[in-house]
Amino acid sequence: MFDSDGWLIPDAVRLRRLADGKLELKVHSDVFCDVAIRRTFPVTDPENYIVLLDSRGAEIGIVKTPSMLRTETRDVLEDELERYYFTTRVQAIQAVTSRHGVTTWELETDRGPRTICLKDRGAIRRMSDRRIILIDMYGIRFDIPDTRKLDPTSQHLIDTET
Amino acid sequence: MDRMNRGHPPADASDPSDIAAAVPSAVLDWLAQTTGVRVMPRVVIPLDLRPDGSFGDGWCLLTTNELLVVSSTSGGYDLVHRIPLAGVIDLRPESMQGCGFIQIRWEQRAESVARFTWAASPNVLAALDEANALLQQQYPDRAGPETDDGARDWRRQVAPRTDSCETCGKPIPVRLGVCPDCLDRRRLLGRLLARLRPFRMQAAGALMLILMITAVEMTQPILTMILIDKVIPNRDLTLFAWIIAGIVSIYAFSALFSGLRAYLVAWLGQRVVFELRKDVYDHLQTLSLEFYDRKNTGWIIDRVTSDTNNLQDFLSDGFQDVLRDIMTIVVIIVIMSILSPTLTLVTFIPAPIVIFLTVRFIKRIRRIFHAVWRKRSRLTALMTDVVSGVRIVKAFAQESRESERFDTRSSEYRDAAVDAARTFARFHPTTQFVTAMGFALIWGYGGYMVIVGGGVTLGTLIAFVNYLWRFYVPLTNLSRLSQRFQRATTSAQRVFEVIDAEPLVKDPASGAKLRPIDGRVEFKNVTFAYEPGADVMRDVSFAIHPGEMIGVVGASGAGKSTVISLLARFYDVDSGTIEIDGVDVRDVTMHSLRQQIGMVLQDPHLFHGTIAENIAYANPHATQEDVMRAARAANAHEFIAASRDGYDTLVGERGTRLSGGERQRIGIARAILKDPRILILDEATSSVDTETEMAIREAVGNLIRGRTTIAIAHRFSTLRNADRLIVLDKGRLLEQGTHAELMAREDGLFRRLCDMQTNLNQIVGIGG
Repeated sequence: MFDSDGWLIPDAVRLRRLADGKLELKVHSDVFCDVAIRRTFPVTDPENYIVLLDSRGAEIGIVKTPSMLRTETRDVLEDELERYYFTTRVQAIQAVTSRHGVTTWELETDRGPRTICLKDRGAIRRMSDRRIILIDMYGIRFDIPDTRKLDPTSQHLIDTET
Repeated sequence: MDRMNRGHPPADASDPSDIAAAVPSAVLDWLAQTTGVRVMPRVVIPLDLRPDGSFGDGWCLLTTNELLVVSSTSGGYDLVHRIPLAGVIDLRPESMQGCGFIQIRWEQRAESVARFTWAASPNVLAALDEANALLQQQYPDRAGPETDDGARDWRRQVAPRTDSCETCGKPIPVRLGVCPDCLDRRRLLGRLLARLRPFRMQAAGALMLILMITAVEMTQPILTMILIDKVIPNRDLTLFAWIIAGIVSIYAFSALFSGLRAYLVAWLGQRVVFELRKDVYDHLQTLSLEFYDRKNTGWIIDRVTSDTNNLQDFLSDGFQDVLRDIMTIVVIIVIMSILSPTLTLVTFIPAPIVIFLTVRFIKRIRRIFHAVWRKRSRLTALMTDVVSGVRIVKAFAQESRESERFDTRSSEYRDAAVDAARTFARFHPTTQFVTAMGFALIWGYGGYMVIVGGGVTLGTLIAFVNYLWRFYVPLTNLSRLSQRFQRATTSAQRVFEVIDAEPLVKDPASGAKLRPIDGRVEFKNVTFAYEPGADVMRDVSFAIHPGEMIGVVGASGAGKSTVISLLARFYDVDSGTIEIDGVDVRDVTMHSLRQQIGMVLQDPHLFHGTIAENIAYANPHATQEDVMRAARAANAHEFIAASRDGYDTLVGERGTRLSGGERQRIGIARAILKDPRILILDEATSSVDTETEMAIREAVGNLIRGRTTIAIAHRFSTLRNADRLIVLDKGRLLEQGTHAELMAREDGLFRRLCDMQTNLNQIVGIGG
């Protein structure tokens, strides 16, 4: 079931969603019920290196490039990843107000407009010089993949607030 | 609609119209139109995501026989699901990262019908409970839902939201510790000023002085005016002498009484705050451990020191400054208007601009300075990181990359600092210019009036200039007033929060004392949770006979330490009872109870003082011989006597550092000296050398002789001495019996834990 580098062989992997909502994985003759699908690089490479875990959380194997999977399996996998990871991409920052260290951000996102509250500066995660992830008071993530691709107003707001 | 904090029907809403109020009536109208029936929802689950994952309102409605999921769309609404409830087992939450789903379950299948973000999850989880209760009520004979561990853990995670405000739901600023929007500042100020009441004579005196000094100081420009207008043109030497004498006495008066005022006000501030500090500290001593669990040490210390200090600043300086500033401004305006109303109007034209600019400047510069400060600390953080890891940098030959990273951050800092300088360069001269324009206006308009004889004398003009100088200082002070006021009320809130906190564990009203005991301890069906919903002890019962030693065993988090905390009544049980010699611990005073319980805790805290004082902590009147006897029994005498200062060795903060084994033995000596009937022993986890361990074990042996002992042991060898063992697992009593009995159980937890530790010891033995 593994190739020479230790990745799951894409052709052998079959995923389907059962009637009870759980995922079933078949690799050759091995059947796993209630598997979990997780990204190993959720931020820097969300598409590739997808790990499959059995019902107790033990690793079954890693799919290196899901694009090589059979179509039905890939659809199930992508659907489950989309369900599990709720990330929102920030397209613009309209305004930031600050009170005693709590900042309120008015954002334009790929999921529509949203106003979020950040508890403190620790909620602003600098992943790299360009990438910032904001974590709101509820723990929901808002991703800014490249600050320099934002409009000048948004960039200025980020510069003064981070 | 407020996207951050959505409404949710109150949990006890049983009136159908209340529940329906959680859905906009437009939605119900639309539903009635689409389905042809007027829907009466029994439970409303508010959603904040649409089926496509975009942010938007949605509602999951449960009627008596149907589940409807309605989502808002750009132009209206959409009926996403309409599912009959017959055959449904339950609705359960599925926890994802940042969001969750509502899953509807039947006997053989399940479907995720709605999605929501973590922002909505507290409301959704509460509503799901109601929904399942409704299902239970409607279909009592349906297949029972099995328990769902994942959902329970999630519920525990979202349930207590201590970091957001209970009233408004906004997050509480970490820096403040209180919600700034929900403070009743006026009430707090009133409460603070009420503390001046015992000193009202002094307070009134200080107030009188402030008013008098301000009034007298304000007459000086008038004297100058008379000097210029009357004395100098008329060459009136007698009046001249009087005026000069007047000016001298004004300064003498204000010098004398300013000193008195400063002293009186400082005295007042210190007195009030002394009382406040005392109240806070005394109250802290009465509070239960539960309070100390919730607040960290730094927080508590800050309340007693820095917050009371803030309040003292406000009461002594802030308060009198405000009074003086207001008084000065009022007096100046009054005198000026009497002298010349038109000139007064002209003079004050720039005042609003100055106030506006100052307030704006303060706000803006603070923001920019924060940015500069953050950039600098990021630079410092990088340096600390790299300098302390310099070996790694060099070993992996990454010097040039680190230089680049430093350059990037350093330039960010530079840009921010330049930005700040620019703001400064722009704003400061502006305010200065506006202020100067005020003077130009007086000189211009006033001078013109003097020259053409428009009813303004030269003396009046000079007096106006004089007053204007005195006017701007209090004005800028007052524009900072709200900031000062905010700081004081915030501190007041935090201090009063401590004073208002009620101890959860209270002495019985009767004040009954625990009589000298035999030492029989009994836990009867004890259930306890530090936080509601997360039981750490469930229905635990056991009994200990007088003089018996019990070992408590279990993995970490099994509830071992809770046994101790409950017996000593640091907390009260949620249900069940704990009895000592047949008396409920809640029926006697904590003082009398704890007097008969001795404790040796994992890391015995040594207070600053001598070793002898620390051993005699339970009884400061113990004789030197008592102390020495206890130390001997604890196997501590030898190392104490051998040290330079013997029993007079200073320990604790800034004292001699003792090893873990030595501290443990002092802890044991402390318990031996107290001579309690019941002994609680929390064995240290830290490892000590074999010799020390022998010494400690011997000391423990001396200590437990003839006392009821509860020992929490992390080393199984120690437990051999125990008469009986109780094994806890996840808050439940799993096994109890002698060491041999428990070892005989092939599949017992104790046997498993023992085997694991034996293996571990073997590995350590090989490695070491």
